[in-house]
Amino acid sequence: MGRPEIAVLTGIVLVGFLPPFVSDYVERVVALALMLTSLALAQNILLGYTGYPAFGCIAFFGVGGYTTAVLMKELNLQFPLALTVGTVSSGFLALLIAVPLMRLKSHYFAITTLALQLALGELVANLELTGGVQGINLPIYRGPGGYLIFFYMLWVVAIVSFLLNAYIERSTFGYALKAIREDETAAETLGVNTVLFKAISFTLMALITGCVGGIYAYWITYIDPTSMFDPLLSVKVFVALLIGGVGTVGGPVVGAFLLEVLSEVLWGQFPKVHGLILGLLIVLTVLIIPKGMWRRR
Amino acid sequence: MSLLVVEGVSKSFGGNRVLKEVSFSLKEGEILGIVGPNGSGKTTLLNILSGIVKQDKGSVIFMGKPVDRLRPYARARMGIGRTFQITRLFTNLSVLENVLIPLHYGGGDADPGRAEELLSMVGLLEMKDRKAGSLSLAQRKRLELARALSVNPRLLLLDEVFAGLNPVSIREILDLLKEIHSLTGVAMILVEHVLKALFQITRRVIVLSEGRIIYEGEPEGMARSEEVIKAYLGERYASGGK
Repeated sequence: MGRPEIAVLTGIVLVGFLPPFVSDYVERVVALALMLTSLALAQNILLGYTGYPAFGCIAFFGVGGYTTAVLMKELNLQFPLALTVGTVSSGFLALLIAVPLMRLKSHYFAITTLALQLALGELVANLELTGGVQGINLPIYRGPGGYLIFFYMLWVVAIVSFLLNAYIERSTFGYALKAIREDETAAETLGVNTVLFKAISFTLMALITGCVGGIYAYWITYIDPTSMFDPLLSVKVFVALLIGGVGTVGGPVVGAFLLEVLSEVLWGQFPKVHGLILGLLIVLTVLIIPKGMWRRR
Repeated sequence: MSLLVVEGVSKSFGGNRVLKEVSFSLKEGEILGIVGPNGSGKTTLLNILSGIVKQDKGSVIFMGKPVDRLRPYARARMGIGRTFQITRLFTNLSVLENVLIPLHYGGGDADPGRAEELLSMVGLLEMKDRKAGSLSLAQRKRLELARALSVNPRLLLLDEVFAGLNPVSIREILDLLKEIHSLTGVAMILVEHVLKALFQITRRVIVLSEGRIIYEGEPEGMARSEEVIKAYLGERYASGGK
């Protein structure tokens, strides 16, 4: 890990000491930024290192969230166990579909994952088990630490996601992913089992995304298909990644925090036109620094 | 025992029959040239041998084992290395990383010392930290060679390795191939259009035309084959005009 990456990691760690000194509102914004950080870092494994843009990555957020919620509601499972099953379910689904899905490339792959996200959203909206369009209400968490527990869970997931990205950046495993990103055919002829590594990359992305979905579901206590399979959240993940720098370790963190904080500030200052201003800022950022704020090594 | 046996390999893309019952074999350490007009199926044949494309009919036997069901990565690990007509480097990675990846996954050991040794052999050691995308064409070809050697090949498939190079670079690559052959004894199949260079390294040539072998033998014999003259060389070459 280089100095800039260590600085970013230190930043994320220090964020964990914020709650006693800030308001509940700021704490919530930071928690959302941590959530977006994890989602962007998860997507970075797939897009940044492997070169596959899962535009419908939030499908796994929904699967993780809904599995956790259904298990808690229907089987009265404890949250840690339900979250574990929810996370593993997301990963398992990814592993199951990775091989056929990742025969597709670039925009074909992106659109297919988006279709998966929308299809799963529709499925959940029509199942009785998942509460249909009315969604699921979960009991309010009253255990030790209160709502701060969700902040710290998101904090831990963000740190783990960051460390995983840092490992990929420097490891031989990461080399395999980068080789696939650079030229899949060449990688295969040089001994890289591309099918295996693509499946691992896709599964890692789904595991992180599903875990975040599970935490979010219990944090919010109410989930419905619209919020858990929201295409706009997919867009937000990609924007954070593009602003920060695709295929870098620090970029997704910087992009996620910048986007979340900027979005909140604009919403507070210009409630009627904040979306318009944010959109313009994003367009300008991408035009001025197309490769993101954090340059690839 | 032959290192490579190709038996009755055929391949069609849609209605276009690209290879028709192609058969030949290659001995350990032998260098074979494959020539022929554009679209005669040369690159498709290399793609079949390296596993990128699956043949419709026939089989490929490497070191006594059929490899038809093996994917390219498994064939690379068995010792089939290749380069591409248009270089396919990992352009955003460093020159060293380009060699370390196949060393680890194809050759079984990502030893930086071995990587540097290979880069030194192809004359790129001083550029090891540069991005592969910043190299000149001749340097890219050299790096592809180093990369192909990283899988510890018993067979090297070289697709138009001299294409686009100036005479000096052709000479350098030719010398490099000779050096690699004398040091490692690796067998080579060169798909090539630069016949002058090719004939300096091989004593056996196959001529493909419209997907079938129309000549197999010594390079000198090509100019005596009516079919080869008609399909590939042309009258001027055959009469010594080229």
